[in-house]
Amino acid sequence: MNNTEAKPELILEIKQLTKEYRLNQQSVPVLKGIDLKVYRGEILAILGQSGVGKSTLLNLIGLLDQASSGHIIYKGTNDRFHGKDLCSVNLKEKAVIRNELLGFVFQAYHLLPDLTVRENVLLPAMIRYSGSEFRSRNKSLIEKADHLLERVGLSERREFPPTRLSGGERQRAAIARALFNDPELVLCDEPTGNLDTQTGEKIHQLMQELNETTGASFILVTHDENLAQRAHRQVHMVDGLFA
Amino acid sequence: MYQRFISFRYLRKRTTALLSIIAVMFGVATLMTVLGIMEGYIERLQEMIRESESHLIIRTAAPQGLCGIEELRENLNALPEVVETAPFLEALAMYRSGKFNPCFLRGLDPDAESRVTSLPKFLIRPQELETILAAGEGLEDLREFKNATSTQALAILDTPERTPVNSEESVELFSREFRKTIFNRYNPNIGSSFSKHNYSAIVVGLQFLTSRNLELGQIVHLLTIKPGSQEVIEGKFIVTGAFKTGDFNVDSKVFLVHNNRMKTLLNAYGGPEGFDECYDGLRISLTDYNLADSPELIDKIHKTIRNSNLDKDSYINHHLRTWRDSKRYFLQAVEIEKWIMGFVVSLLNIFTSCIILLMLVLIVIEKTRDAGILMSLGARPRDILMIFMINGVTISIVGTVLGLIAGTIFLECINPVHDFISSLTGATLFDPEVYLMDKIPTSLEFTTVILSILPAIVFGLLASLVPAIWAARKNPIVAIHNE
Ligand SMILES: Nc1ncnc2c1ncn2[C@@H]1O[C@H](COP(=O)(O)OP(=O)(O)O)[C@@H](O)[C@H]1O
Ligand SMILES: [Mg+2]
Repeated sequence: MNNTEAKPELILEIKQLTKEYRLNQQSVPVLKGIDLKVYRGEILAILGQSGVGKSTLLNLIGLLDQASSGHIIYKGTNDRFHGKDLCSVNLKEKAVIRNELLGFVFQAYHLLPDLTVRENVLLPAMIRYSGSEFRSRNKSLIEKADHLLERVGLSERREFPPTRLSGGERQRAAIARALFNDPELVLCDEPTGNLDTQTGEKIHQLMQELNETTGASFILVTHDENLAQRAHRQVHMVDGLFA
Repeated sequence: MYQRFISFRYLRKRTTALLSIIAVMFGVATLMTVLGIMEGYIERLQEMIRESESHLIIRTAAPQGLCGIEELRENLNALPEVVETAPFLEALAMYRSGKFNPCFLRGLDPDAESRVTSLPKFLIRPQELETILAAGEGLEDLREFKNATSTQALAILDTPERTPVNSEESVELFSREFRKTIFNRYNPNIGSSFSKHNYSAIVVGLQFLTSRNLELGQIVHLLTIKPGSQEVIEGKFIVTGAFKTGDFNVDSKVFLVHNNRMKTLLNAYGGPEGFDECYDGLRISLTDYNLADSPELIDKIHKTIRNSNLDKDSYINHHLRTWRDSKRYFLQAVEIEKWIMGFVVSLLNIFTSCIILLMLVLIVIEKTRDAGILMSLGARPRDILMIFMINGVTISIVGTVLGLIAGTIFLECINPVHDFISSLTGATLFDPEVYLMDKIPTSLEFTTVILSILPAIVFGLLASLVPAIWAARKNPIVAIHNE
């Protein structure tokens, strides 16, 4: 809980990352040269006013968007990508990285409404494995999903469609899904933004617990100073740069 | 395969998917029915030609006809490909039933003809004919009589169990004894005068009897022109029996007469010196009708004709025709019509594919956010493409399979369905006088099946591909935040 010194083991090194959007022939710079290091096992809070580019940065780290310039160097344990600039790997590899090394938690939960809670949690594994591989691992994967659902307190709700869950429960399911493939880094874009303070607090506690037990790093975008205080490290974004 | 798993979830409980499947089903079933009926019609037409015309016909343009055919028949029969030959005579005539009506006289040798054409199948046994006519007994109204007797005829004659008449039975139908029996039965008051008149027997198409143009046992006066002259000659015949080919044109226009009687009537074909037997032509049946298309066999037959001591004039003017040559242009026209109909109905499949397209566009719009989420979880654009492709292809395939089943059932049951609709509405949809046939013929060939499903599958694929590509090209960030 206390603000211990970050472990020195790097997983990402972001260098001079910029992003500008083009709107009607005019370029709008949003990120103006971000430098950031992400360490193994830490919770990094990114604070900043609405519109400064927090989501944009997270989308770049999550390889959902293409940076205008700069580098995201991967320093994690996956040998295939170690030392590579994630900005310049091909689309297929980006998909693999998103699936195996990253997890996403969004403000609006983003569960698939046609699948049950458990099926939603299993999605990363469905995408990871081929049909036959998935079937052969079926039992252990379902066990894992049930275990994760128990950890987030949704055992009773695993056969429910997401539409029948409360906001807090949905976010718990989304967190379980983000952690399913044991990612090294979980990207959370205002995960408590749609929740009341009390529920938000609980979600935050859950993330802290999971951070400790799984050892995954979390990047937490928030504008709640209170929650950010409890992260291992905070950075403030002002006008496309870290203050 | 999670793409399929998600795809099927999208289709579950979706009414538009069900509607699209039904639309595809109708498209496929309609095309299949149209092609099946047209194909069946063509096949039945060809079969009818072979059944009544045999496989090859030798005719001559010489006025006295084909003379001196004894040796030719022997030589042809000696060929392994030839089953039998039958000489025939023909003449246009008028018969009086109230007013004068045209008819076509076909002179034949019942025994030989039975082995060359499907005459045994067409000839109706006296007992069968009695049952058919009994069905209309007491019915004053012509329409009712026609319906009752035609229905009975179909029930008795068009069953697979019915055995064709044998050659004795066919000879018997034209015999003097039988003529006498019929004459005495139907003309009791002048019964004793049979020997005096010695009427010739005619076997008429069943349509004459069911439409009450003629009656069994009726004495018919026939007028025709003596060949090679302008002299009108008249013959008296007695209706002794009936035949049914299924070809309306034949069943309502043709009288069958024994060759000998025909010769007596026309009294013309004395022929040149030394040839006492002249005919209008010779029918040849082959072991396999496809041999009629073989140039080697045709060559062989030409040689046989040349070496068979035919009357010189007959030989010089002779020609050999195959069953395909008769009604060739009609058959071609029907074939072309089949393709045009098929093409027009294929357009229906474009329409049903548009329904798939619309439905998929709706699904893609609704599921855009899902696509973004899946991409954030590591799905590639091609996986997204797959999900929506599977949606469309599933609908295409399910609809096509159901359409095949529906089409097959419809083609199998088309005649009962037609009769049912006719009996309900009183309208005849498939009029035998228009279509030349008394039932709707159908055929279900493998190629017909392929042609029926091809447009549905091809257009279905295209209709799925377009929205699927659209979905796969979406920017994941924009897609995720799509509400
Ligand atoms: N697709 C886009 N096209 C143009 N401008 C964009 C786009 N997405 C975001 N922006 C702009 O970039 C800036 C940063 O947005 P965002 O990263 O969402 O901010 P935050 O998450 O910090 O609130 C905003 O001014 C926004 O208008
Ligand atoms: Mg934001």
